[in-house]
Amino acid sequence: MTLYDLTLVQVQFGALRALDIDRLSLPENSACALLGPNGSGKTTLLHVLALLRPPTRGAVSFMGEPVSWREKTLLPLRRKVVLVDQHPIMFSTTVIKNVSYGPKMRGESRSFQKRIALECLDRVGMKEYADRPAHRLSGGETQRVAIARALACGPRVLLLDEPTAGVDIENQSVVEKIIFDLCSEKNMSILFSTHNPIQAERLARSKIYLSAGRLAAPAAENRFPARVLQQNGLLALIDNREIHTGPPPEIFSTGSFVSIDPEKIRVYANARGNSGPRNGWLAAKVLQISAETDRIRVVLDAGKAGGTLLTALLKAGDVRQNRIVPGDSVQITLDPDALRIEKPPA
Amino acid sequence: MKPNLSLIFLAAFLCIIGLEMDTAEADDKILTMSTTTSTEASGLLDYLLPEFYADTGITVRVMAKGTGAALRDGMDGNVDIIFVHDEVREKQFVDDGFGTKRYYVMYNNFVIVGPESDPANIREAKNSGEAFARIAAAHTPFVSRGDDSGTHAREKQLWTASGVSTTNAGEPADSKGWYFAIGQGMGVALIFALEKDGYVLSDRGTYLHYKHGRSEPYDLEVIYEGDDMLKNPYGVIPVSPEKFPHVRYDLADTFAKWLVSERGQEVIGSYQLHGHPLFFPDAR
Amino acid sequence: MDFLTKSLAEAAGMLASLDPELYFIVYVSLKVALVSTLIASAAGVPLGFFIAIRKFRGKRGVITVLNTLLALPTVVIGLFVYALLSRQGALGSLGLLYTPAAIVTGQVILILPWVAAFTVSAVSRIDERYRRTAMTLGAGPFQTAFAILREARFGIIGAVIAAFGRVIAEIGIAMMLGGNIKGFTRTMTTAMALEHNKGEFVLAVALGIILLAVSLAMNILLQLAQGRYGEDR
Repeated sequence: MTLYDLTLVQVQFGALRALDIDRLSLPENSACALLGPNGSGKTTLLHVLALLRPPTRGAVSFMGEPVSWREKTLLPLRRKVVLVDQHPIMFSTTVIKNVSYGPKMRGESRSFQKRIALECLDRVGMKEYADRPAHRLSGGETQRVAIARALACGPRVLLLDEPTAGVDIENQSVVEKIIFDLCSEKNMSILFSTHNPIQAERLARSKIYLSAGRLAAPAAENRFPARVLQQNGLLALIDNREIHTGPPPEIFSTGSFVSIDPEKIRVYANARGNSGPRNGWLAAKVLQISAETDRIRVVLDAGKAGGTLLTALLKAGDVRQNRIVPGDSVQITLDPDALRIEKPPA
Repeated sequence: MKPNLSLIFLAAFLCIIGLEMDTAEADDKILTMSTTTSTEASGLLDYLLPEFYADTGITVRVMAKGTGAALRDGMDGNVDIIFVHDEVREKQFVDDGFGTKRYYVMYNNFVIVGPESDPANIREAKNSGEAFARIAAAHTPFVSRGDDSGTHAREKQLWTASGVSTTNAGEPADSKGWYFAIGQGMGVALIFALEKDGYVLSDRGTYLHYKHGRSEPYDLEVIYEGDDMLKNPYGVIPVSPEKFPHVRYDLADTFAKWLVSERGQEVIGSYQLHGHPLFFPDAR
Repeated sequence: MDFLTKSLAEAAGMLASLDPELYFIVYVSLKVALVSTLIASAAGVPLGFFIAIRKFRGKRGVITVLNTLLALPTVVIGLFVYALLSRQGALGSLGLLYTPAAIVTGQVILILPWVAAFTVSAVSRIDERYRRTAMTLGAGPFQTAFAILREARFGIIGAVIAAFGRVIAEIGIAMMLGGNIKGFTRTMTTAMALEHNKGEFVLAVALGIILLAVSLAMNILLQLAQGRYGEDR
């Protein structure tokens, strides 16, 4: 059964179309990352999925049931899904009262409320904080309690809006670990938005990309700011290193974006005699190799200083032939039609 | 915080119940009366009303205000009876059908109070009108109640009698710098006169109270008194039940008749303020 | 100065001797003010709450009107309600003029805009995320409203206490609608005015002391309420 089916869903804020999704299906028991730049509609999509914001147009169905957005019929559905805000806010009372809020709303007995709250606090390692005032916690602690508070509702779907954004470094890895554990949870689907492709790669089993409110092809995963160098049809990107593209279809100045189709990236091991820098070739490092249905996903770090992620989808044979293993330094090149250049916004 | 809040709510709830009981009680033998501040401040009512209650079991709720406001209450049907001292307007009140009958109850005297040195030399005056004329001529400070009270009405009559030219409002035309209309009660007017070292027309009761009833000294003296023009008759008028069917006419009539009865008159005459009799029975 | 210290000393003696007249006046004042505050709060808090959370046409206009009503002088209300409750007025047949109920009517009109306006501002200051958080955690519409109300509680309690302070200290309405009837509608403020008129200061000073003590107690109550969770908000 599918968890969500969105058909022709649009959310309009005045003149701005924040969300415009033709069709989106999320399977049950997924652990999905939602990627995209700021303002691409991640939060809006999460609010729709959390059944908190009716779309301006379009149909949403949740667990096989069409959502009517009437408050009466909405409440039972909404009680199956919980959203943790990007900067969660605590009710001005104790930690445990915050965490038992969900069960309380569901009319559970006091003893059940307490037991489930302590259990959930334990899962995020915040049990000792139970009797502290909740609104005096640090950002990371707040995030952890907020996750416990969401879990106490016993949701079928857990939505997290940039769970590590407002969190200090130590808590970041703790929160990531919590999410990682939750992703392997049965009977609960998890969907989180993030800016961090490495995090998405590490935690999620699938990904959704948003760009300007629209679902973007997986190509958008390799999306970088770009500058067209007019003289010779070279394109500057990735730490100002140049990639040869042949003559660009149109000439743009700064402010463009370029997307690289992951299926049109060629990866070569650093064979002897092949190691020197070549025009149009890029050095990269293999971070991760994973199998998808009929492709091998290779995540590369193509930046000089590290952290510029490029994903390539290769045929299994190519990987075997090139003997690529994680940790290798490799050379990559792009097919002439690998690049899609976006017009800068007017 | 929660227990505090619920306590407050509980207390408030009890208060509402209390309020309800007050209104329930209002259907009992309770009479509402508007009177002048001088009657209440003199202490007479505190002396007289318990006697009345002992005789009849009727409670009187008293509102003290200027005569004008008291008459107004009667004309609007907001009280059952009025007890004031402005003969002219009282007669008008009865003639206009607002009251059933004016009963003469008692009188006291106005006095002209001023500094011992008597700067306007009013001790020499042949009557109270002339006394006022002398004050105006000397431009010594004069404090007027200016509040439409009975005392204020009497001031205006005296200005007319004095022959000084007056405005339409009945006040001296040439009033700049010495005539102060303060629009407040008798007590405030007396204090004001003391501060200005000037003259003021006062009822004797309030004056006695200031002179003898307080620990602070009061330095002004009665400079002029005893004139017929200074006689201050009090009348009581039940509000007409024909005009206002809701008034407690039976109770009002009982009170009025009690006041003019031998017993009521005796109580009034026996009242003393600081050793001085204040009101003289005047039932006719 | 001697005059003041003497009055103060006598007033203290009067307070200590539990003078029945004095304490009955205090009782009437507190009773009337409490009932007014309670009624105004019961109507004003929900009113302010809905103005704050609902989006509707003319909302700004309503808030402007409320804020204007904050400045209504007590004597204007007194006059208006007098005209209404007087036997000659529209509601004259109820016979409410010169009763505690008349004072309550006027005082409710006085402070209803206060409670509503301060509730609007207290609720508007509440973070939008509270609503979303309550809803996503499974709260129904009433539970959500209650969660927001709960977060705004200090502001609302503050509004209620301020309203109480306003009615206990006002005189125009109590005088014009209550009539200052001894043992019935005489409140602390009208009694003080009367005593001043009579040139008596002891009772007035004693009442002044109580009035100050009441507002002090109200402020302490407010501080206590806010001190518990209110520090960093």
